[in-house]
Amino acid sequence: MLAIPFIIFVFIFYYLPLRGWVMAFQDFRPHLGIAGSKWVGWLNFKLLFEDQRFYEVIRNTLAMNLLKLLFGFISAVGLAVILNEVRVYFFKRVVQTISYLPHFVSWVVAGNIIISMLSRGGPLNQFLLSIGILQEPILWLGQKSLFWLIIALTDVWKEVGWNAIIYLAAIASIDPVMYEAADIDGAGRIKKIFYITIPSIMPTIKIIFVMNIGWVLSMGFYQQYVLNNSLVAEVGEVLQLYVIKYGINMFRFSYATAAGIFQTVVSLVLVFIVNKLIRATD
Amino acid sequence: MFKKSFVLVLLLSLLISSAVQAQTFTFFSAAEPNDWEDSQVGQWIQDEFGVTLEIEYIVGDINTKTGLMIASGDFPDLIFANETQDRFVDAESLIPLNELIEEYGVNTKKLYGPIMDKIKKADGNIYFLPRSRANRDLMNPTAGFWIQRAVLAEFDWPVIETVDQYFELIRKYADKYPMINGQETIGIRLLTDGWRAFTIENTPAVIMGSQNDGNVIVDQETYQAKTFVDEDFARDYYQKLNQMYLGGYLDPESFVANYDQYIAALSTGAVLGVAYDQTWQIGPANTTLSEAGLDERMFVCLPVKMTADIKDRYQDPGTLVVRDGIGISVNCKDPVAAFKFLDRLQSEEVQKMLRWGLVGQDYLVDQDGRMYRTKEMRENHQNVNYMYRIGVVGNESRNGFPTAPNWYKYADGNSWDPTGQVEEIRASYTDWDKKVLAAYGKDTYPEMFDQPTISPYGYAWDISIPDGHPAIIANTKLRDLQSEYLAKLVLAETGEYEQVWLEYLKKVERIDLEAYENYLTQKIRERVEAWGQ
Amino acid sequence: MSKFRTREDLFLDTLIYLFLIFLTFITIYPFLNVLAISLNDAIDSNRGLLGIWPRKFTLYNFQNILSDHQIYHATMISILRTVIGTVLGLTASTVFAYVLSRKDFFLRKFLTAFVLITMYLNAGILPIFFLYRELNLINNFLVYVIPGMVTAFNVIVVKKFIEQLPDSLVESARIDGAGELRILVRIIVPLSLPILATIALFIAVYQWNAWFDTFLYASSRESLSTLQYELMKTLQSAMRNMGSSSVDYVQSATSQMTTPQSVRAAMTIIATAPILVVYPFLQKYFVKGLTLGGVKE
Repeated sequence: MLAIPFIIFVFIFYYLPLRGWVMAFQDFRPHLGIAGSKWVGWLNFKLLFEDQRFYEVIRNTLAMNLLKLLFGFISAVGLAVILNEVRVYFFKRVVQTISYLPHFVSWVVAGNIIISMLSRGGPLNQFLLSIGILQEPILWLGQKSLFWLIIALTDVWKEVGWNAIIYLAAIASIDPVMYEAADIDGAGRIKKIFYITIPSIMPTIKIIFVMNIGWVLSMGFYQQYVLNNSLVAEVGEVLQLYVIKYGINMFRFSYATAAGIFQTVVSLVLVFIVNKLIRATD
Repeated sequence: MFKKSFVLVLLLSLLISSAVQAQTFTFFSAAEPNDWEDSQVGQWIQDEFGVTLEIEYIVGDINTKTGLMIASGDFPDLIFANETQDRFVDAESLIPLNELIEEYGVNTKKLYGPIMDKIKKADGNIYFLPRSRANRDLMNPTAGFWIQRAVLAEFDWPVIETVDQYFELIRKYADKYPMINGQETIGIRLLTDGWRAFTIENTPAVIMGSQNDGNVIVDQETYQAKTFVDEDFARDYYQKLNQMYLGGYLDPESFVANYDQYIAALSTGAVLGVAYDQTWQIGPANTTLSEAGLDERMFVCLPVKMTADIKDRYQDPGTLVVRDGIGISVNCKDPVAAFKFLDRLQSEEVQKMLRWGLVGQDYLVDQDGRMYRTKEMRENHQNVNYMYRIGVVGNESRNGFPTAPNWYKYADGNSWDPTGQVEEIRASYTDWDKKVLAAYGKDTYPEMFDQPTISPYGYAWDISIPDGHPAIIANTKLRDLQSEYLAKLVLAETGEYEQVWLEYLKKVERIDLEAYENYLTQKIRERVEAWGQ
Repeated sequence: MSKFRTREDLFLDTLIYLFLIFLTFITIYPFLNVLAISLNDAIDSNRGLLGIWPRKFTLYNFQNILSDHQIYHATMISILRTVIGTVLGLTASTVFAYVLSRKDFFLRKFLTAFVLITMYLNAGILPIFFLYRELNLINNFLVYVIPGMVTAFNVIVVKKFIEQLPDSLVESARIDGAGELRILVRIIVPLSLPILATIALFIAVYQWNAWFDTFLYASSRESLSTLQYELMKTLQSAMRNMGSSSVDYVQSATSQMTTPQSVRAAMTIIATAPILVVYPFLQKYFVKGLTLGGVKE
């Protein structure tokens, strides 16, 4: 009935382009097109899986995105819950508006600020030196062991306000009657948070988590691109950048497609496993 | 009967209107967006030629855009695609210009005649007219080791020839003045941000007296191209940087900061030197220092070499670059008209506008017929936004318009471009510039370097490698590895340098460098052959 | 709500307010810094500007961008695509989500998976370009608003939300003889306002900020250029001529120079200001909470 036009739409715009996947089995040349390009079988996949760097970037991508996912969730849900506890409406609105501002600052600009803040003479080092925690300034962004954490934390800083919006919306539709009932039972605020607020938005949390887990291989690369440097290149390069560098920039569309197929397959497997585990999309 | 005459009238009116209406050419320009079609000069040319240009500038990634264009076959009439130009040649999307030049190229023959053999592709055809025409910068050095004027002045303008002398001088100054204007003195700063890291990657070659051939050294007799990552002189040079670091004279921030912060650091006036950079990259720092009134903290470029007996090849002799330019696509409906347009752009009248601007507004002519500019006009030309408004395309020939080198002379004896006019160069130097030059007994900065030698093959980096070729993969891998290891080498702890170096060599061995070297060697030899001596 | 403030209450409030003030402080900083840079002389900014106050005030960074004569037309296109895109996207997501949320719909499970999968399909740029070409969407305004009309994320989030509404509401309406459309418009939509406002915000921000689709699919049609695309153009121009050899370091009296940094800053402000103006109208739906408790019988 009503669903049919949507099915057709989704099929055309999302499934039909997958025709292009045949490129992965070709040595595709743009001017020859798919019809004219040479078939090479599994060669592109072979090259991909033989490249040492490929495994490195997969590791990096997974590590950083999982950390981001974890921190991102806790911080966004946390912020939404905390905002919900604020009773001064005006203050609540102002904080909420300001906290989502950094979302609109591009990573290039944010990156410049972060690099300056974390530089040897930057505010963070100065602060830590002045209170005596550090004796020597640290080159924060040059520490391999800290890079993943810095990526996750700066992502929280930039996106927490934005990511909290959807949970705010979920909280906003909790029936006030539930809180009133809890009040009558004499429940404290902490209790109300854990027995009403969080359980009520749990379905939303679950569904968004499941959907996001599929993106751990494909989430944006711009942040890493901006904050990466030669000291941490080993742990900082992510899959998407690799595909651009060794694929599109060299006009190796077939290689890029092979990487894309790999990405899709991994994503789907992840989503289905996680979804089976927590059964959220239903 | 009525019908027929009606059709006739219609046809006639169509003919008339098309004769009056300007011919429109679509044009893909990989130049930075500059709205040339709306500029003063651009407007004048379009009106005068009866031509309308619809220019699409590149805004995103050029590889993606050219990929879409070639895959879809949707080409505009004219194409200038920067470093991806050869892809259009390979895809057979540009028409050969040979016959058009022969038949209609009155001006083209004049300007491109002397280099006609060099711009032919392997099949003997010319597919595009290169824009870069071996300009010579008579005012500024091309590249070298940079040092603050104040440092040179402090020690009475010593002549610095070797890397050791250069580092020594910086050490001496930093020891003497640990603070500058309230900030901690930083000895050396390097630039390692993304692709700009070529400055640190290529230094070993240039201090050995090689011209800037990217990451290879080309044997000047056999024309064998060879990478130098594993050479002893590379090891020695990075070890010297390492020693500077261990002594506290090299800022480790160099390996974390991006280009903006590099410029910001140099602009504070607390950085004494930069071990190799090119003028155009360090330029903004000098501009900022100058604007802030810190003239003595501005940087001077020096020809520093490994040993004093090496002849430096820092100064660009004005070598032809043939990898990009403007071509006519196979989709162009009227290639003859398109070519005539390109040819007319090369007339002296138009070239004067494209390179100097408009007479009275951008330059004046004295009674001897010499073109000159007032101080204000010169300043205007430092401002890119002003240049866009006028439509002057500058030395790099924005939008890929065909042109002549800046040292060509017009029929009236003036230089093709202000940067080739000697009086203009002298007038551009500030008092501080003159002071520095007087101390070394030179008239211009380029004179501080050895006489440039023209290379018989141009530059190795000008050779474009076909997509997907093992050579290009090897090169990318090499650069990835360098980016990681040069940082490790320079920042190695005491006594660890050798070990890191050996680890680095082991990883270098895994890259198919031979594919890269062989490809370049072959192409260089072909060029030497084709270009003649 | 209880009127008595317990010790727990007071302690919690202090903690919450302190934390939120800290958060406000660190999240407003980047924005103020960008504002300062956008109002600061470009060459002077080269020296680094970390504060929130311009050192050498100028409006040139804005003048330079706004002098682009195409920018006004481009802004119109941006507004159009944002409005049309949001209306289409919101309507489509809601209707589709409603269909999928109907527990009696036999294809529900299959279709949910069918939609969910699309989030992870990576077909590559070329195949999508060819599809749009076949559909005649290249250099066509519709390319901005049609392909993104149904996005899995939005559909599934809304669907989940609708499913949480009490079944009894729909059933009682049905008993009253209301049609599907009526149920959707009269019951589901008013109760889902928070999530619909959120989705509208997501779509609108996406539409407003998008430039890559212009670059890929509509770059040769000047009349389809958007504000973001024009801003990117200006930025590209500034970035590329930082390396142009014609710029020498001679002192210039007219400080009318731009640098990528200053262009980026001015761009951020120009592009974000309208979002900030519109935001409060949507914000009230998810900050205040529903006061429609009475409707839920």
